[in-house]
Amino acid sequence: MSILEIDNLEVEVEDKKIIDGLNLKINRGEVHALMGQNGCGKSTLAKTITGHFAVKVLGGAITYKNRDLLSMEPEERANRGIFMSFQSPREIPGVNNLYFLKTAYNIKQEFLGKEELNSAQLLKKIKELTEELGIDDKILKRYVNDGFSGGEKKTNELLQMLLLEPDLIILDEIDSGLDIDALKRVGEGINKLLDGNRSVLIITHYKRVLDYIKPDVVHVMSGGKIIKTGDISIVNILEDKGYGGISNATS
Amino acid sequence: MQLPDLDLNSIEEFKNFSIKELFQKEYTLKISSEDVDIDNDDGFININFINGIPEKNYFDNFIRINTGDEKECKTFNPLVHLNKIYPNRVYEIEFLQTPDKPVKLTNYFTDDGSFTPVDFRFIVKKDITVNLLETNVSSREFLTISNREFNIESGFVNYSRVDRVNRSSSLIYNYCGRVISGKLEAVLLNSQGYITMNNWQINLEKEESICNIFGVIDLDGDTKHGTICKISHNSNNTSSQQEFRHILNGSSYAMYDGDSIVKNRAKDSKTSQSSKSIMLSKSARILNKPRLNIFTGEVKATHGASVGKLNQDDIFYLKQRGLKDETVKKLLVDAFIGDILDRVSDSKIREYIYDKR
Repeated sequence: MSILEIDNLEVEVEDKKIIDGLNLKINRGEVHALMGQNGCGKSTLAKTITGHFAVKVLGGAITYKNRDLLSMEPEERANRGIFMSFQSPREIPGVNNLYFLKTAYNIKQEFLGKEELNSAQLLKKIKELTEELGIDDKILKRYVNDGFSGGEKKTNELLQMLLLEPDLIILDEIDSGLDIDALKRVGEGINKLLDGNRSVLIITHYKRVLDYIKPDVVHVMSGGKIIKTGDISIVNILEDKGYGGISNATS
Repeated sequence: MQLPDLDLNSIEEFKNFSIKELFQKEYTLKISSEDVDIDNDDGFININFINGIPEKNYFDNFIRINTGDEKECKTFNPLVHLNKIYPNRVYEIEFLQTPDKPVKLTNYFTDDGSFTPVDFRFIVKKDITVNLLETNVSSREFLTISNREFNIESGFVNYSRVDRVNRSSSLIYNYCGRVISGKLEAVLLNSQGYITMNNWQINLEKEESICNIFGVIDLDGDTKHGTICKISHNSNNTSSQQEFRHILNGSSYAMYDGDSIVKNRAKDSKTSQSSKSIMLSKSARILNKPRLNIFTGEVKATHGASVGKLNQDDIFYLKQRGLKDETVKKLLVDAFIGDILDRVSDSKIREYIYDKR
């Protein structure tokens, strides 16, 4: 059963068409990898799915859990289970990380008609996650991503993800700024969430992240559309021959 | 009663912030006590004034309140002298020892359409530290012109102000005085009332005198606020800081006119001015005029002003975690002003301000 279905999507950013006739279907429990050269539209696709203010949808449709996604505000998309791990998470000085986590958690609970947790219950839950992930809980007392290293930022994204338990996870170049150990830890964290019901869309340039989060389906994007879909063997072709190899194979 | 004409246009500092409309309105002078529900708080030493009259005689080991003489406060500001026209008194609040609790000075205003002048002189002498919170409380539409004179000699005053007043009320505050080898640090939050003004004129008279003025101005609708802040460094090795944050919504208007004067006898002094503003609507306006007047060569001085909007990428990031527009704006505005409110050193006062804002 599909969780996300994109049909003939056309998107522009600052009057320039970036996505041009893209189709994509992600089923529940599947891990998809989306690869492509710089500027091919991968991040714009992630922004379109999450409702970023800079994208303008010119045509096509996106259905999420059988609802029209494009008519939803970004916060509704988030509360219905779409989570994007940002390539460059925002630094927000003055907003306490723990307070932010508590607020986000309880807003989602309220949206879903579930019971909100009080401060003590939430702190316990968050501390269990930090222990499980081996995160120094000093991160909770700091401002959101303020002065964090690249690894700390991605770890903080992971913490948010595990707390909010999304149904569709979009990882926009999760491996950027991470060393191998940090990438492994992030990969392990994401794998904990994969219970066969949650779906992942990994946007990446490199194979190394796919060593830790195994994709079921790999797509290659070029010129604003998906030009090839297959299994992990596509990644090996990219490693050997680059994107030119895929283009040639397609043509 | 009609307030007298002020020749405001002749005063450069007032050119950009007209309070003339206050002077075109009929007010009834009100300087008399009434029965009101007093909101005393156990965590504070509470001093209450009702329509400019003390609720009771205050005298204890820490504080003495007397009626004082009208003194000439040397100032450019005609409003400081305006209260002389009316039969109000200057109350001298003298701190005899360091109080064991923060002091909460509450002014109650009871009548609609009333004008109440309220003048205090704070006297803080050697080695005494005072954490002082002033608050104005009223559900009525009133006008007050309040003079506050600080006389600090080797003492330390941490002054804060937050008001709980009707949004049609107007509050004009004139702060003046001198610091002689002591420190005056003030944190003011202006988010209520129609026209609010804080006029500062502080002189740093002896070495190691410090004056830091911080403010948060949070306006919406058609409200107006002006801060005019002059600090004169009259001696070596003195220090001042002016830092203000504006959050402006609706068609509100704010003005900041900062002036740091470092005289030629005030070598090795430090002064800084900063005004940062976030505009939440297209029709809100701000005029920033931070100025340095330096008459000696050995000074560390900075000044600057910035005006912007909430960052769209920050908003999107927080919305992508499910937070609604209203919550996101509140979080980002709180973040914008947090470091100013955190300058309130007394935890009880800080808590009060966060609670009442």
